[in-house]
Amino acid sequence: MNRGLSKKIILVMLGALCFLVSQVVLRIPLLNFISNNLSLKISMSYGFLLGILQIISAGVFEEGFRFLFRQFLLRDDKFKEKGLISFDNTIKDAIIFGLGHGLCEVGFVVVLAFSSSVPTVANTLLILYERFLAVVFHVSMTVIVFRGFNINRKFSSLVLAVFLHSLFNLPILFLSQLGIIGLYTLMSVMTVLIFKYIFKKIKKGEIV
Amino acid sequence: MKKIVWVVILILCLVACSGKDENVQSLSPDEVSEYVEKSQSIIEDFYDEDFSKIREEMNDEMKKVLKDEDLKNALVTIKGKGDFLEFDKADAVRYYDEKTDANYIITQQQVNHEEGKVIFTLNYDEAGKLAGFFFK
Repeated sequence: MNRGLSKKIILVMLGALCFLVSQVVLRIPLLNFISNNLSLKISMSYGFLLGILQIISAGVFEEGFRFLFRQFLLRDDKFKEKGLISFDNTIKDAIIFGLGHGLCEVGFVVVLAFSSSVPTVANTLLILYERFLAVVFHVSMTVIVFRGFNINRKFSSLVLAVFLHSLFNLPILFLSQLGIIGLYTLMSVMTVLIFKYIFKKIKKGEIV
Repeated sequence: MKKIVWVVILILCLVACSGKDENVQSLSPDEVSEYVEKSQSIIEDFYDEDFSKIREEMNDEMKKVLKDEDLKNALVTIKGKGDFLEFDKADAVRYYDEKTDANYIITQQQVNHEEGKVIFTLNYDEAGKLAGFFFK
């Protein structure tokens, strides 16, 4: 296997590991622990607040660990960084890492969705479309976080990614008002807007 | 730096807007006991597939919406959790629904199985009739 391909495989696996550590190992058990120990009165009285905190926690954990993986596990030799694994630090590499993250999440969600009962064809198509949006979103967030390292603004890029992640998930709290089609339409619009932002940065030369 | 400050302010505003829901009220310990026991009895009927007994507890609206077939299909999804072990944590609160201008008792009962747990949420109307039956 040539070195280029093995590097790409490592990046995909790191992306997948990033999802597993941030969500499956840490965030989901933490949220389950908290919800199991909250009284019914508290969880109902502060339902909306708890929803907001849950949404923000997704951004903090996923983007935070994307940042940590980039900081400590990946190394661009051009900048004399100290990460474990050398990589080319191009937009292609960010996309590959993001794909690893997003596709691992797809696998996790699909297994969950199909484990209790087999969804209808319509629901399956909706799940797959939502997962497609999620993969595109994870790739975009990876590009944004990694770009921060290239333009010496890694922390503000991280904050931006956490904010965008929270904003992307926020409509879920209004599912009953929006309906599933309204929700997915909003998420699709946000995905397009994030793409536009990234293309703008590519034109400016901040992402190569 | 400015961007970070604005983002944090926006998040804090969002958090501040989500206040406490004053429609949720505590019940007395006796009321909690009463409704938790009622819910446990209904859950046992559900597991025993004694759906006619459950229907006797339902209010009229629920009888129209929830059929025995739905309960049977719902029970199938729980089978994967293995055998029933025990009733675990339970709680109940009073909730005022502004849309219907009515009070409800919401109970939550955790049921431990061999291979996981199921959390039931049963809602009762002011007449003490079953108005909602959910689990996850």
